Amino acid sequence: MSAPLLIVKIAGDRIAVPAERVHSVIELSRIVPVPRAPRFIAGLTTLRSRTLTVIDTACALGLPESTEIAEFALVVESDGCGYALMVEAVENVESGEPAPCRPDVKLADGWKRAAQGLVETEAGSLLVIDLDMVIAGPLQDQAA
Amino acid sequence: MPPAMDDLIADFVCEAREMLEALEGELVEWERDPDDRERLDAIFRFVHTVKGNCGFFDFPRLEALSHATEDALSEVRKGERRADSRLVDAVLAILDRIGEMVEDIEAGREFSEGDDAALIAALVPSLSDAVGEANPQAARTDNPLGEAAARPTGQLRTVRLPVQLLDRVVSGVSDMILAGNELARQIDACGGGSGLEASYKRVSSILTDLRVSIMQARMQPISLLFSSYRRLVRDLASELGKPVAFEIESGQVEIDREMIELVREPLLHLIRNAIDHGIELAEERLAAGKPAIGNIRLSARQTGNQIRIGIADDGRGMNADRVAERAIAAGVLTAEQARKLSPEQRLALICEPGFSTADEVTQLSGRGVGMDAVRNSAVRLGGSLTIHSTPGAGSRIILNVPLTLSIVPSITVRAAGQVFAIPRSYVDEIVRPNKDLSFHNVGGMRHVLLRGHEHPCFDLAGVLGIESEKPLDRQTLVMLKLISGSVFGLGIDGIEDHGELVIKPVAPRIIGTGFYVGVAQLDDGQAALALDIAGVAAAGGISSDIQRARFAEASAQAGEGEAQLESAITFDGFDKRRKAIVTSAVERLIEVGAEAVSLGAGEPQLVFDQTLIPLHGVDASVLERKKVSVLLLHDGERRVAYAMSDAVDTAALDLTTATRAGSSTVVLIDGAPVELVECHALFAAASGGFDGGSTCRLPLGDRWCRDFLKPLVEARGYQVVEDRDAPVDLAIVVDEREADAPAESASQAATVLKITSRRKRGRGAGGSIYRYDRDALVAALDDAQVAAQLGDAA
Repeated sequence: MSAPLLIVKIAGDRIAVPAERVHSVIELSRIVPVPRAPRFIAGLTTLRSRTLTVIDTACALGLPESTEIAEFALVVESDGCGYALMVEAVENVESGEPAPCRPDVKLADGWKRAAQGLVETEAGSLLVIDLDMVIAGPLQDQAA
Repeated sequence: MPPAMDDLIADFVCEAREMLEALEGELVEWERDPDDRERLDAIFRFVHTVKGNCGFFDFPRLEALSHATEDALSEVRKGERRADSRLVDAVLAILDRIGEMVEDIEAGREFSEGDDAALIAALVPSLSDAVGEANPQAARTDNPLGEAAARPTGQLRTVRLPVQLLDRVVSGVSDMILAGNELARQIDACGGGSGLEASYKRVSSILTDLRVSIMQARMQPISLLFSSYRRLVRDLASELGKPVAFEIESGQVEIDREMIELVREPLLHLIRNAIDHGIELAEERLAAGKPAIGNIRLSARQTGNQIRIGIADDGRGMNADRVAERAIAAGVLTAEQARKLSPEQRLALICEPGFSTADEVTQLSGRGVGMDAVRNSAVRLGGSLTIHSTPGAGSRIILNVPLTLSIVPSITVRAAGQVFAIPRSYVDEIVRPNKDLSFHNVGGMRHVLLRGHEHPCFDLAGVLGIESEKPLDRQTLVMLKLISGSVFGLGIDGIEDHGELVIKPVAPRIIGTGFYVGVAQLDDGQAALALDIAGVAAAGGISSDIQRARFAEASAQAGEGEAQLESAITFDGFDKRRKAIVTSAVERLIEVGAEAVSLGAGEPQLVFDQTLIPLHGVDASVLERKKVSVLLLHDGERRVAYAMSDAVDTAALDLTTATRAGSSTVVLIDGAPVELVECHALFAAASGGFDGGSTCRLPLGDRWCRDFLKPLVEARGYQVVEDRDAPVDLAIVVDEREADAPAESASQAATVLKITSRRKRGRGAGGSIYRYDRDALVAALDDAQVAAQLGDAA
């Protein structure tokens, strides 16, 4: 089954996410920090009357900080709450069927947990990630 | 399938689901009283409806199930069979299956696999169930729906809406209010004269009304929630082999849809606990002289903005001392601390985290297991949990929750450049920073001395791990009162605003920090986190009931050592002079907007709690301020307000230093002269003249008398009497007419005052006074009053 995938840039990598989960893409303006929240929660932002929890996607996946500034965010809903997942760029929509990761493709630690599979595009193989894993945050935080 | 068919199916699904929900409770009731014809009819009506629709839509499996149930129930209706628990079980199972199928239809799925035949077979009566097979009535054919088919008429017209649509409307209205606020700011920025203000006001008042109505539309009867537990109670009771009667008393109480979802889990927990641990086994109950069947009662009452949900059982109850022993064993508190707790506080220990231990957990629930979670969720929702129990007689747990979560009166505060919301219900008072506040370190915590009491205080920014702008001693303190009753000060950089905020849920990982309950959107569209006061207090080192007992003990000891000095509040008045007021007269310290102050003709007044109270100590410069701090004084009957221009502190007052200086009294505080505000004089002025209890009769039929004269007469301390024959101290006659005068002079009036509309100064013919000669009128009224009192004394 082929599903539309949104190609975005996270921590410098081009990554595919299931497009049907993404309500909209916003440009991040002011973010209100949330003191004492886990580090991957960058803060809160508002979209009309909705408040979204902004997630530092790279941090949530345990990836090294990127040199690029994430100024866009994917608006995603989970368990009745709205989230804005920070991305550095939004490129295009492709359609493709994620295939299981091939053994010849090595993934960095951070990506492994959220990886759903690989998809072949004109620009080469892209990793498809599970957005719920991003929202759940890094493992060590869950235990705390 | 044609679109019209889709609509019909959607209607069917919706109707079926609603009927199913309503039936849940009916079925169990019916089992208890199988002869209850009305319940039987309701259930029968449902299966009949399903059967009718299935044939039409071609759902053969659904049809077979409903048909078989209809047949079985119709036998019961005809009296050929009795409804026993076996039949109820079978019908319940079928209704569950029908429910699943209805969900499948809605989702457009194939029906899930399942053995319908077994379900249908379960409906067939065993031999012993049959009653009077030779029942002559059996052969009678009647209209299968009978009189029950007649639907009640004259009901309100209703429409059915998807809940999501309603939620969209609510959020649309919220968006409009925010957009409206933005518009208001732009209109302000344009300056006056644009002519838009009036139109904007109109729009905004319509919006406010709209929000109220739409919130009402989201209310649901709480009975819907309550009935959903019937099944649980029934299943749990039979699983544990404890017969339980479940009573529901919800009246007409309605509650916000969102709140229903939030109390569902905590209530479930409490009911489970009551059956598992509260209710004893039948034999134990009989041995204790109780009826074999246990009783659980779920009730709801609305008081103001709160809903009180009570769960009462007549089980074994809890022994407060045993609870305390267990708490000590679990290390929740020391024996020393436990001794000082009241029985109710000891019972509340079951809600302390760490109270329950693993060996108490049964397969269902341990008493205490999760009670801390239940109490936490109650508190998070802005409510509370109280426990009452009598060993051997049962327990009663009361869960108090607000009517709606959506709109919470709040204040917004600033800390480290960030804005946070605090529910106003927690706020006791606000203390502005001033150099005279005294701070001490007591037991490792900073304390502030307010009116003779030490209150622990800490810096909000510090607890949140962010950088504060000022040190604690120079911050504004918001004094917050916890549910346990203890008061603490939260240091902030300043108060932003106050108003009603729409608090929305926020990501679980943020709630999980324990510092926040939700998020609100401010007028400028920014997000502001709503603080979890209990969580913040705990992080600041202030917590729970046990702590409070410790504080109470500490303050009691401190009190004994103190000399009996009068304590006073000192402040700067608008006349720039330092003043003092005795603490016992001060009800509270409030901050009001300048618009609440009226400096019009006469004495200055303050609008407080929708009433006008006299305001002292202000001058015209008050109008230049945005906000005014005011001391509310109370003598047990009336209120008087006294405005402060700056600074509050408390001081011990040594009244032996008091000296009268002209019209005021001056006392020495720390060697400096301070003007003592004399409360007696303030209240004397507020009380107007004497309430001599004198009575006066005036012709109330005359409009001038009623509207102009009566208020004046009452202001001079008279009570106006209408009864024409009652004895009065003063009778007033206007424009002496033949008809009135002899009657009044003959009546039992001590004095008769004549008023004329002819313009003349002083007393005219026959001692009459011109009606607008105010001085003469007042003098005459006062004279008559004095005369009446002298007469009384004689």
